[in-house]
Amino acid sequence: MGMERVQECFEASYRRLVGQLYAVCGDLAEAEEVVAEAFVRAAARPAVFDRVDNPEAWLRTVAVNVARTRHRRRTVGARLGVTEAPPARHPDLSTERLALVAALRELPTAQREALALHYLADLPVQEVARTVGVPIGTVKARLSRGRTALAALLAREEETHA
Amino acid sequence: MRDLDDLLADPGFAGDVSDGLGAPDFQPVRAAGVRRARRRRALAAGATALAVGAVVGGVWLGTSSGDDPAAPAGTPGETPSELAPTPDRTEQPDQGRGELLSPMAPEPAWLEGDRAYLYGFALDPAGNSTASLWVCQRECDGQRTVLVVATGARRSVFPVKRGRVVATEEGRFVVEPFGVARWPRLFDVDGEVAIAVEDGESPLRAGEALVSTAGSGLRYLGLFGVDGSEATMHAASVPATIGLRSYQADGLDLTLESERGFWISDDGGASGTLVEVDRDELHAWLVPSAEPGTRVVLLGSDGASLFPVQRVVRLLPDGTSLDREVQLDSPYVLAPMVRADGKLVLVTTGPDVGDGLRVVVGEPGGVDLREIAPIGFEDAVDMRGTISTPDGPMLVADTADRDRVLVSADGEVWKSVRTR
Repeated sequence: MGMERVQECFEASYRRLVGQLYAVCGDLAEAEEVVAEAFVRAAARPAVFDRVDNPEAWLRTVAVNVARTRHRRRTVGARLGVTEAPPARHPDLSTERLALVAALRELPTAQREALALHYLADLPVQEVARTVGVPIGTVKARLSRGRTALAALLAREEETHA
Repeated sequence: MRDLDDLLADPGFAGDVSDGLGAPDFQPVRAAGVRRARRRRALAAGATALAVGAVVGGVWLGTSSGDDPAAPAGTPGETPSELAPTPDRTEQPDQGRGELLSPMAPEPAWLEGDRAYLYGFALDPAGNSTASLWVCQRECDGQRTVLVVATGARRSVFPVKRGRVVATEEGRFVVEPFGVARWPRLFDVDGEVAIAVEDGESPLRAGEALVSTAGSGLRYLGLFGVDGSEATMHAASVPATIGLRSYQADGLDLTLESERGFWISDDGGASGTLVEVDRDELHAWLVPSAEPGTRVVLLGSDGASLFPVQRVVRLLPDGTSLDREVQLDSPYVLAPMVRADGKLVLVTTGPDVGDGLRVVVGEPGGVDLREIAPIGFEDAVDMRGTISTPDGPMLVADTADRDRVLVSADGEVWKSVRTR
């Protein structure tokens, strides 16, 4: 049953999860890789995955954690001058949506995750809290601060273009 | 550039991204997973040989999620623990009605300190009883989630899984677990109470609490009426094709949110009427009501908790509705209720960091909403929400002191209640 369940979830949830993780990562290739990595971890432990209560939520949390770890490594690598991030790949979206994704990438990780998962992935605050592993109040605070920071970033961007 | 709210209120974003993706291929994922499992087993064999020499005479407890640091908290381990077996609640319970099971002994050390986070709270005002669900945040030893049931000076602690806590009558509380196909459990200060399950479906009866179970990929697998004093449970009658999104039960007044509208019943679900409302893709929040027959739904734009209310809809028994747009200075609704005199009470906050909590009161249709100066509300730091009690809904606010919350049945007068 274990591997069959992983496959069922893959067929049902892969694309939806990539859509959600794109908002978090700001890069479609990165989103596809972290979601694939989450499924590989499920496929490596099908018996464990079989007992998970909410498979899609579990996969989303793993994918967010993987994205966070990769982002941290890339940041450290770039600081040390040992890695260079490849250019981001984006889906076919409107200019405004792409500008929003670009602005999100400039926010601190915690704020970006909260905003992306709540607004763009359309998850309730409680589900965001479960996904990123913090209390609901913390998510609310991150959303509030993130909105303020995002508004400032978008205003600055608009001024630059004007 | 559009307004930030317009940009963010974009529930179709993730869907539009995923629509452009090609068909995924599972075979590379399966192959990578199998390779990784083989490698892990090979490494584990070597590690075990080293560990045996190091821990002879000790006890190997292992970890809950193997060696995967990305796995969410609570991920099941490879091998279920034999030290604290979890009752299998995936099958319908068949228990002797009212049989008492023992509370937890000893209580976990983390429960008394700031390592404990208040996850859920319920109150039976008449019985002077409370139930609070606590989750260990760090340095946990053993059980990570417990339920504390207190009546007067007595209290008992029970190991449970996370879920919603609902008060029933006579100081008994139901824990509705979030896990898939898990069954509700009933507790009072003397112990866990075995629930007898009735065959077939029947309407909700007076004094029963309405709880739900979730299915894999389904928020609601079924709704159940639980009679706390009789320790019985039965499947609740709801229209089979309703497409349930959320529900609210106030006594025998049921309101079920469906994809088509709101199904309302005043006899526990024996009969009902569908009220169709043009929601304009807004999210709905069913407002708990203390006045029989008064049903209010809030419509807002961006989710369940930070909920900027845009419209107040009153559902009428004849299948029609009254709909009113509202604009509040402090628009994010954190907890709503209709109190016993039929007035609508909203506890709100603003969009900025440091915006305080405000209480506004008005007519149930959303007319004349005005801010009031509540009494005893000074220590509130956040809203926990609205809870259902046998006496009707109550608003609950958190304070900086984890040992107490503030509760109110009208939004005007608040009193402090101990949580553990």
